[in-house]
Amino acid sequence: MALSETMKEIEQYRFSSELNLAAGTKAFRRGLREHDLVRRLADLAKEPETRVTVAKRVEELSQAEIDTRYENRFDAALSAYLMVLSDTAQPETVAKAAAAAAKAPNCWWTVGLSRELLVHAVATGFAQAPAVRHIDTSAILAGTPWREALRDGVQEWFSQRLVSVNDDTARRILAVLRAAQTKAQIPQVSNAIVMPAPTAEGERVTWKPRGRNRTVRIKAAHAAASMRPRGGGDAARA
Amino acid sequence: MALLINPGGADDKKSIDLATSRGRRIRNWQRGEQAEDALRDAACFATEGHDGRTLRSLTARYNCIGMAFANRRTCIEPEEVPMILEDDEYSEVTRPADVMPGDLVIYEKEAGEVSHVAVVVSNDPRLTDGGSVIRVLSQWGSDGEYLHDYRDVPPLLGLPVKFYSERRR
Repeated sequence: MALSETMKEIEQYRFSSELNLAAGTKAFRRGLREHDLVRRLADLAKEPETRVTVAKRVEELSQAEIDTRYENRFDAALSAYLMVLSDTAQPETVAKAAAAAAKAPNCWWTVGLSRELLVHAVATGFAQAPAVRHIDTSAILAGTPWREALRDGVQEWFSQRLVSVNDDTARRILAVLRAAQTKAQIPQVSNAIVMPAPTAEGERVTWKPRGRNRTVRIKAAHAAASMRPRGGGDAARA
Repeated sequence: MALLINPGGADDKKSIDLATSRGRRIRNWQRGEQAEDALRDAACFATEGHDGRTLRSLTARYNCIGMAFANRRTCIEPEEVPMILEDDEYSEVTRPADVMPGDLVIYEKEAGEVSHVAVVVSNDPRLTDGGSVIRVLSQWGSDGEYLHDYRDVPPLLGLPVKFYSERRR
Protein backbone atom coordinates (compact mmCIF):
# COMPACT_ATOMS: atom_id res chain seq x y z
CA MET A 1 0.00 0.00 0.00
CA ALA A 2 1.40 3.38 -1.03
CA LEU A 3 1.89 6.25 1.39
CA SER A 4 -1.09 8.23 0.13
CA GLU A 5 -3.42 5.24 0.45
CA THR A 6 -2.12 4.44 3.93
CA MET A 7 -2.69 8.00 5.10
CA LYS A 8 -6.11 8.10 3.48
CA GLU A 9 -7.09 4.95 5.39
CA ILE A 10 -5.79 6.42 8.63
CA GLU A 11 -7.99 9.46 8.15
CA GLN A 12 -11.15 7.42 7.58
CA TYR A 13 -13.86 6.99 10.22
CA ARG A 14 -13.12 3.28 10.37
CA PHE A 15 -9.64 3.87 11.78
CA SER A 16 -11.10 6.19 14.46
CA SER A 17 -13.83 3.66 15.26
CA GLU A 18 -11.27 0.92 15.83
CA LEU A 19 -9.05 3.03 18.07
CA ASN A 20 -11.89 4.78 19.89
CA LEU A 21 -12.84 1.43 21.42
CA ALA A 22 -10.09 2.05 23.96
CA ALA A 23 -11.28 2.83 27.48
CA GLY A 24 -8.15 4.75 28.38
CA THR A 25 -4.91 6.27 27.21
CA LYS A 26 -2.75 3.17 27.64
CA ALA A 27 -5.09 0.99 25.62
CA PHE A 28 -5.39 3.63 22.91
CA ARG A 29 -1.64 3.96 22.50
CA ARG A 30 -1.14 0.22 22.54
CA GLY A 31 -3.84 -0.08 19.91
CA LEU A 32 -2.12 2.53 17.77
CA ARG A 33 1.23 0.80 17.93
CA GLU A 34 -0.30 -2.57 17.08
CA HIS A 35 -2.47 -1.30 14.22
CA ASP A 36 -1.46 -2.53 10.77
CA LEU A 37 -1.85 0.90 9.14
CA VAL A 38 0.34 2.58 11.75
CA ARG A 39 2.97 -0.12 11.40
CA ARG A 40 2.84 0.31 7.64
CA LEU A 41 3.23 4.07 7.97
CA ALA A 42 6.13 3.62 10.39
CA ASP A 43 7.88 1.43 7.81
CA LEU A 44 7.31 4.02 5.11
CA ALA A 45 8.50 6.77 7.44
CA LYS A 46 12.01 5.36 7.34
CA GLU A 47 12.27 7.49 4.20
CA PRO A 48 12.87 11.20 4.95
CA GLU A 49 10.37 12.31 2.29
CA THR A 50 7.64 10.34 4.03
CA ARG A 51 8.40 12.02 7.33
CA VAL A 52 8.16 15.43 5.69
CA THR A 53 4.82 14.47 4.14
CA VAL A 54 3.47 13.24 7.46
CA ALA A 55 4.66 16.35 9.30
CA LYS A 56 3.02 18.58 6.70
CA ARG A 57 -0.18 16.61 7.00
CA VAL A 58 -0.20 17.11 10.76
CA GLU A 59 -0.08 20.86 10.20
CA GLU A 60 -2.86 20.69 7.61
CA LEU A 61 -5.17 18.56 9.74
CA SER A 62 -4.52 20.70 12.80
CA GLN A 63 -5.82 23.72 10.92
CA ALA A 64 -8.66 21.91 9.17
CA GLU A 65 -12.12 23.31 9.81
CA ILE A 66 -14.24 21.04 11.96
CA ASP A 67 -17.75 21.06 13.32
CA THR A 68 -17.02 22.43 16.77
CA ARG A 69 -20.11 20.78 18.26
CA TYR A 70 -18.27 17.47 18.02
CA GLU A 71 -14.89 15.95 18.69
CA ASN A 72 -12.26 16.43 16.02
CA ARG A 73 -12.74 13.67 13.43
CA PHE A 74 -8.97 13.60 12.78
CA ASP A 75 -8.07 13.02 16.44
CA ALA A 76 -6.97 9.41 15.99
CA ALA A 77 -5.19 10.20 12.72
CA LEU A 78 -3.26 13.06 14.31
CA SER A 79 -2.24 10.78 17.18
CA ALA A 80 -1.10 8.13 14.72
CA TYR A 81 0.99 10.63 12.77
CA LEU A 82 2.54 12.05 15.93
CA MET A 83 3.39 8.58 17.19
CA VAL A 84 5.05 7.63 13.92
CA LEU A 85 7.00 10.89 13.80
CA SER A 86 8.09 10.55 17.42
CA ASP A 87 9.51 7.12 16.59
CA THR A 88 11.21 8.08 13.35
CA ALA A 89 11.75 11.83 12.88
CA GLN A 90 14.32 14.29 14.18
CA PRO A 91 13.41 15.97 17.48
CA GLU A 92 12.95 19.36 15.78
CA THR A 93 10.40 17.88 13.39
CA VAL A 94 8.61 16.11 16.23
CA ALA A 95 8.46 19.30 18.29
CA LYS A 96 7.09 21.30 15.36
CA ALA A 97 4.44 18.69 14.56
CA ALA A 98 3.47 18.37 18.22
CA ALA A 99 3.11 22.14 18.52
CA ALA A 100 0.83 22.19 15.49
CA ALA A 101 -1.24 19.21 16.69
CA ALA A 102 -1.67 20.76 20.14
CA LYS A 103 -3.61 23.57 18.51
CA ALA A 104 -6.07 21.25 16.78
CA PRO A 105 -9.49 21.91 18.35
CA ASN A 106 -11.69 19.37 20.15
CA CYS A 107 -9.16 16.56 20.30
CA TRP A 108 -9.20 13.91 23.00
CA TRP A 109 -6.25 11.58 22.42
CA THR A 110 -3.98 13.99 20.55
CA VAL A 111 -3.96 16.49 23.41
CA GLY A 112 -2.06 14.20 25.76
CA LEU A 113 0.35 12.92 23.14
CA SER A 114 1.24 16.33 21.73
CA ARG A 115 1.70 17.79 25.17
CA GLU A 116 3.95 14.95 26.18
CA LEU A 117 6.09 15.36 23.09
CA LEU A 118 6.28 19.12 23.58
CA VAL A 119 7.32 18.89 27.19
CA HIS A 120 9.97 16.37 26.22
CA ALA A 121 11.12 18.71 23.46
CA VAL A 122 11.34 21.62 25.90
CA ALA A 123 13.15 19.55 28.50
CA THR A 124 15.70 18.32 26.00
CA GLY A 125 16.21 21.69 24.40
CA PHE A 126 14.54 21.05 21.06
CA ALA A 127 11.80 23.57 21.69
CA GLN A 128 12.02 26.94 23.33
CA ALA A 129 11.05 26.97 26.99
CA PRO A 130 8.42 29.54 27.90
CA ALA A 131 9.53 32.45 30.03
CA VAL A 132 9.39 32.20 33.80
CA ARG A 133 6.31 33.73 35.41
CA HIS A 134 6.56 35.72 38.58
CA ILE A 135 3.82 35.72 41.16
CA ASP A 136 3.19 38.64 43.47
CA THR A 137 3.36 37.01 46.89
CA SER A 138 1.63 39.93 48.56
CA ALA A 139 -1.54 38.74 46.84
CA ILE A 140 -1.59 35.77 49.19
CA LEU A 141 -1.78 38.00 52.23
CA ALA A 142 -4.25 40.35 50.62
CA GLY A 143 -6.80 37.58 50.58
CA THR A 144 -6.55 36.96 46.85
CA PRO A 145 -7.59 33.43 45.89
CA TRP A 146 -4.01 32.33 45.15
CA ARG A 147 -4.99 28.88 43.95
CA GLU A 148 -6.94 30.42 41.10
CA ALA A 149 -4.22 32.97 40.44
CA LEU A 150 -1.55 30.28 40.24
CA ARG A 151 -3.73 28.07 38.10
CA ASP A 152 -4.53 30.87 35.67
CA GLY A 153 -0.87 31.76 35.44
CA VAL A 154 0.15 28.23 34.63
CA GLN A 155 -2.67 27.89 32.15
CA GLU A 156 -1.66 31.07 30.38
CA TRP A 157 1.93 29.88 30.29
CA PHE A 158 1.04 26.46 28.95
CA SER A 159 -1.76 27.37 26.59
CA GLN A 160 0.68 29.08 24.27
CA ARG A 161 1.17 25.65 22.80
CA LEU A 162 -1.29 23.35 24.41
CA VAL A 163 -4.98 22.78 24.87
CA SER A 164 -5.71 20.24 27.61
CA VAL A 165 -4.12 17.40 29.50
CA ASN A 166 -5.01 14.14 31.16
CA ASP A 167 -3.57 12.67 34.30
CA ASP A 168 -1.26 10.24 32.59
CA THR A 169 0.26 13.13 30.69
CA ALA A 170 0.55 15.26 33.80
CA ARG A 171 2.47 12.52 35.56
CA ARG A 172 4.78 12.23 32.59
CA ILE A 173 5.23 15.99 32.40
CA LEU A 174 6.29 16.08 36.03
CA ALA A 175 8.61 13.11 35.52
CA VAL A 176 10.25 14.77 32.53
CA LEU A 177 10.65 18.08 34.36
CA ARG A 178 12.11 16.34 37.39
CA ALA A 179 14.54 14.42 35.21
CA ALA A 180 15.50 17.59 33.37
CA GLN A 181 16.10 19.45 36.60
CA THR A 182 18.20 16.62 37.94
CA LYS A 183 20.35 16.69 34.85
CA ALA A 184 20.57 20.47 35.08
CA GLN A 185 19.19 20.84 31.62
CA ILE A 186 17.12 23.77 32.78
CA PRO A 187 19.31 25.13 35.56
CA GLN A 188 18.70 28.84 35.02
CA VAL A 189 14.97 28.94 35.40
CA SER A 190 12.38 26.72 36.93
CA ASN A 191 8.74 26.79 36.00
CA ALA A 192 7.78 24.82 39.11
CA ILE A 193 6.64 27.18 41.81
CA VAL A 194 6.30 25.97 45.38
CA MET A 195 3.67 27.95 47.27
CA PRO A 196 4.08 27.98 51.06
CA ALA A 197 0.79 28.22 52.91
CA PRO A 198 0.19 31.44 54.86
CA THR A 199 0.73 30.97 58.57
CA ALA A 200 -2.20 30.83 60.96
CA GLU A 201 -1.22 34.16 62.45
CA GLY A 202 -1.24 35.75 59.04
CA GLU A 203 2.47 36.43 59.17
CA ARG A 204 4.24 37.36 55.99
CA VAL A 205 5.58 34.30 54.28
CA THR A 206 9.28 34.48 53.54
CA TRP A 207 10.12 33.10 50.16
CA LYS A 208 13.32 31.15 50.00
CA PRO A 209 14.62 29.20 47.06
CA ARG A 210 14.40 25.49 47.54
CA GLY A 211 17.10 23.21 46.24
CA ARG A 212 20.84 23.21 46.52
CA ASN A 213 21.23 26.13 48.94
CA ARG A 214 18.63 24.68 51.26
CA THR A 215 20.20 21.25 51.06
CA VAL A 216 23.63 22.71 51.78
CA ARG A 217 22.27 24.52 54.83
CA ILE A 218 20.61 21.37 56.14
CA LYS A 219 23.74 19.30 55.58
CA ALA A 220 25.86 21.92 57.33
CA ALA A 221 23.49 21.90 60.29
CA HIS A 222 23.65 18.13 60.51
CA ALA A 223 27.43 18.18 60.25
CA ALA A 224 27.69 20.76 63.03
CA ALA A 225 25.38 18.70 65.22
CA SER A 226 27.38 15.53 64.70
CA MET A 227 30.65 17.33 65.48
CA ARG A 228 29.32 18.54 68.82
CA PRO A 229 30.31 16.20 71.73
CA ARG A 230 27.53 14.59 73.81
CA GLY A 231 26.49 16.93 76.58
CA GLY A 232 28.06 19.80 74.71
CA GLY A 233 24.77 21.63 74.73
CA ASP A 234 24.56 21.49 78.52
CA ALA A 235 28.14 22.65 78.79
CA ALA A 236 27.45 25.52 76.48
CA ARG A 237 24.38 26.52 78.47
CA ALA A 238 26.40 26.32 81.67
CA MET B 1 -9.04 26.48 28.61
CA ALA B 2 -7.68 23.28 30.09
CA LEU B 3 -5.78 22.57 33.26
CA LEU B 4 -2.30 21.51 33.96
CA ILE B 5 -2.58 21.16 37.72
CA ASN B 6 -4.47 18.09 38.91
CA PRO B 7 -6.26 17.25 35.65
CA GLY B 8 -9.48 15.38 36.27
CA GLY B 9 -9.48 16.75 39.80
CA ALA B 10 -11.85 19.13 41.55
CA ASP B 11 -10.57 22.22 39.72
CA ASP B 12 -10.82 20.68 36.26
CA LYS B 13 -13.75 22.24 34.43
CA LYS B 14 -14.20 19.08 32.37
CA SER B 15 -14.57 17.02 35.54
CA ILE B 16 -17.61 16.41 37.72
CA ASP B 17 -17.77 15.76 41.47
CA LEU B 18 -17.42 12.02 41.88
CA ALA B 19 -16.15 10.05 44.86
CA THR B 20 -15.98 6.52 46.21
CA SER B 21 -18.01 5.42 49.24
CA ARG B 22 -15.04 6.33 51.41
CA GLY B 23 -14.95 9.82 49.95
CA ARG B 24 -11.87 9.47 47.77
CA ARG B 25 -12.26 11.54 44.62
CA ILE B 26 -12.54 9.66 41.35
CA ARG B 27 -10.73 11.62 38.66
CA ASN B 28 -12.84 11.95 35.56
CA TRP B 29 -13.28 13.93 32.36
CA GLN B 30 -16.41 14.64 30.37
CA ARG B 31 -15.72 13.87 26.75
CA GLY B 32 -17.27 15.65 23.77
CA GLU B 33 -19.75 13.96 21.47
CA GLN B 34 -18.74 12.37 18.16
CA ALA B 35 -20.40 13.45 14.93
CA GLU B 36 -23.43 11.39 13.97
CA ASP B 37 -21.81 9.77 10.93
CA ALA B 38 -18.77 8.86 13.03
CA LEU B 39 -21.01 7.17 15.57
CA ARG B 40 -22.90 5.31 12.84
CA ASP B 41 -19.63 4.03 11.42
CA ALA B 42 -18.54 2.97 14.91
CA ALA B 43 -21.77 1.00 15.38
CA CYS B 44 -21.30 -0.72 12.00
CA PHE B 45 -17.74 -1.58 12.91
CA ALA B 46 -18.81 -2.98 16.28
CA THR B 47 -21.69 -5.11 15.08
CA GLU B 48 -20.81 -6.17 11.50
CA GLY B 49 -20.55 -9.95 11.40
CA HIS B 50 -21.38 -10.30 15.09
CA ASP B 51 -25.00 -11.36 15.50
CA GLY B 52 -24.71 -11.60 19.27
CA ARG B 53 -23.94 -7.91 19.68
CA THR B 54 -26.87 -5.52 20.07
CA LEU B 55 -26.53 -1.75 20.09
CA ARG B 56 -28.27 -0.17 23.07
CA SER B 57 -27.14 3.47 22.91
CA LEU B 58 -24.88 5.47 20.61
CA THR B 59 -22.92 8.22 22.31
CA ALA B 60 -19.28 9.03 23.03
CA ARG B 61 -19.74 11.05 26.20
CA TYR B 62 -18.73 8.35 28.67
CA ASN B 63 -16.60 5.22 28.67
CA CYS B 64 -17.21 1.74 30.07
CA ILE B 65 -16.05 2.71 33.55
CA GLY B 66 -18.15 5.86 33.51
CA MET B 67 -21.10 3.71 32.54
CA ALA B 68 -20.54 1.23 35.37
CA PHE B 69 -19.59 3.64 38.17
CA ALA B 70 -20.86 7.10 37.19
CA ASN B 71 -24.31 6.60 35.67
CA ARG B 72 -23.07 7.38 32.14
CA ARG B 73 -22.07 10.92 33.05
CA THR B 74 -18.33 10.99 32.43
CA CYS B 75 -15.16 9.12 31.44
CA ILE B 76 -13.02 7.47 34.10
CA GLU B 77 -9.52 6.18 33.35
CA PRO B 78 -9.10 2.42 33.97
CA GLU B 79 -6.38 3.16 36.52
CA GLU B 80 -9.10 4.34 38.93
CA VAL B 81 -10.90 0.97 38.99
CA PRO B 82 -8.88 -0.79 41.73
CA MET B 83 -9.49 2.15 44.10
CA ILE B 84 -13.23 2.12 43.37
CA LEU B 85 -13.52 -1.65 43.89
CA GLU B 86 -11.69 -1.39 47.19
CA ASP B 87 -13.50 1.65 48.58
CA ASP B 88 -16.93 0.47 47.47
CA GLU B 89 -16.23 -2.94 49.00
CA TYR B 90 -16.65 -5.07 45.94
CA SER B 91 -15.70 -8.70 46.38
CA GLU B 92 -14.67 -11.21 43.78
CA VAL B 93 -17.15 -13.83 42.59
CA THR B 94 -15.03 -16.84 41.82
CA ARG B 95 -17.59 -19.17 40.20
CA PRO B 96 -19.29 -17.97 36.99
CA ALA B 97 -22.41 -19.86 38.08
CA ASP B 98 -22.70 -17.52 41.10
CA VAL B 99 -22.63 -14.35 39.01
CA MET B 100 -25.85 -12.32 39.14
CA PRO B 101 -27.28 -9.43 37.14
CA GLY B 102 -25.69 -6.19 38.34
CA ASP B 103 -22.32 -7.78 39.01
CA LEU B 104 -19.28 -6.56 37.09
CA VAL B 105 -16.88 -8.23 34.69
CA ILE B 106 -13.33 -6.86 34.71
CA TYR B 107 -11.23 -7.22 31.57
CA GLU B 108 -7.48 -6.99 31.25
CA LYS B 109 -5.29 -6.58 28.20
CA GLU B 110 -2.11 -7.16 30.17
CA ALA B 111 -1.79 -8.70 33.62
CA GLY B 112 -2.99 -6.33 36.33
CA GLU B 113 -4.02 -3.62 33.88
CA VAL B 114 -7.77 -3.06 33.68
CA SER B 115 -8.82 -2.47 30.08
CA HIS B 116 -12.61 -2.73 30.21
CA VAL B 117 -15.59 -3.10 32.56
CA ALA B 118 -19.01 -4.60 31.80
CA VAL B 119 -22.21 -4.97 33.82
CA VAL B 120 -23.86 -8.41 33.93
CA VAL B 121 -27.48 -8.44 32.74
CA SER B 122 -28.20 -12.16 32.73
CA ASN B 123 -26.63 -15.48 33.68
CA ASP B 124 -28.33 -18.59 32.37
CA PRO B 125 -27.12 -22.14 32.77
CA ARG B 126 -25.92 -23.79 29.59
CA LEU B 127 -27.67 -27.13 29.37
CA THR B 128 -25.10 -28.82 27.15
CA ASP B 129 -22.15 -28.65 29.53
CA GLY B 130 -23.44 -27.10 32.75
CA GLY B 131 -21.57 -23.87 32.10
CA SER B 132 -22.95 -20.33 32.14
CA VAL B 133 -24.22 -18.07 29.38
CA ILE B 134 -23.42 -14.62 30.71
CA ARG B 135 -24.75 -11.56 28.88
CA VAL B 136 -23.39 -8.15 29.73
CA LEU B 137 -23.93 -4.49 28.91
CA SER B 138 -20.91 -2.28 28.29
CA GLN B 139 -19.82 0.93 26.62
CA TRP B 140 -17.08 0.31 24.08
CA GLY B 141 -14.77 3.29 24.36
CA SER B 142 -16.57 6.13 22.61
CA ASP B 143 -18.20 3.78 20.09
CA GLY B 144 -21.51 3.15 21.87
CA GLU B 145 -23.09 0.81 24.37
CA TYR B 146 -23.71 -2.85 23.51
CA LEU B 147 -25.37 -5.96 24.87
CA HIS B 148 -23.13 -8.94 24.21
CA ASP B 149 -21.78 -12.23 25.52
CA TYR B 150 -19.16 -11.40 28.15
CA ARG B 151 -16.45 -13.07 26.10
CA ASP B 152 -17.40 -11.41 22.82
CA VAL B 153 -15.49 -8.12 22.77
CA PRO B 154 -13.03 -6.59 20.29
CA PRO B 155 -9.40 -7.52 21.07
CA LEU B 156 -8.54 -3.95 22.12
CA LEU B 157 -10.84 -4.34 25.15
CA GLY B 158 -8.87 -7.32 26.48
CA LEU B 159 -10.11 -10.55 28.03
CA PRO B 160 -12.55 -11.12 30.92
CA VAL B 161 -10.52 -12.09 33.96
CA LYS B 162 -12.66 -11.56 37.06
CA PHE B 163 -16.20 -11.05 38.27
CA TYR B 164 -16.92 -8.61 41.07
CA SER B 165 -20.03 -7.88 43.11
CA GLU B 166 -21.04 -5.30 45.71
CA ARG B 167 -23.89 -7.57 46.94
CA ARG B 168 -24.42 -7.74 50.71
CA ARG B 169 -26.01 -10.87 52.17
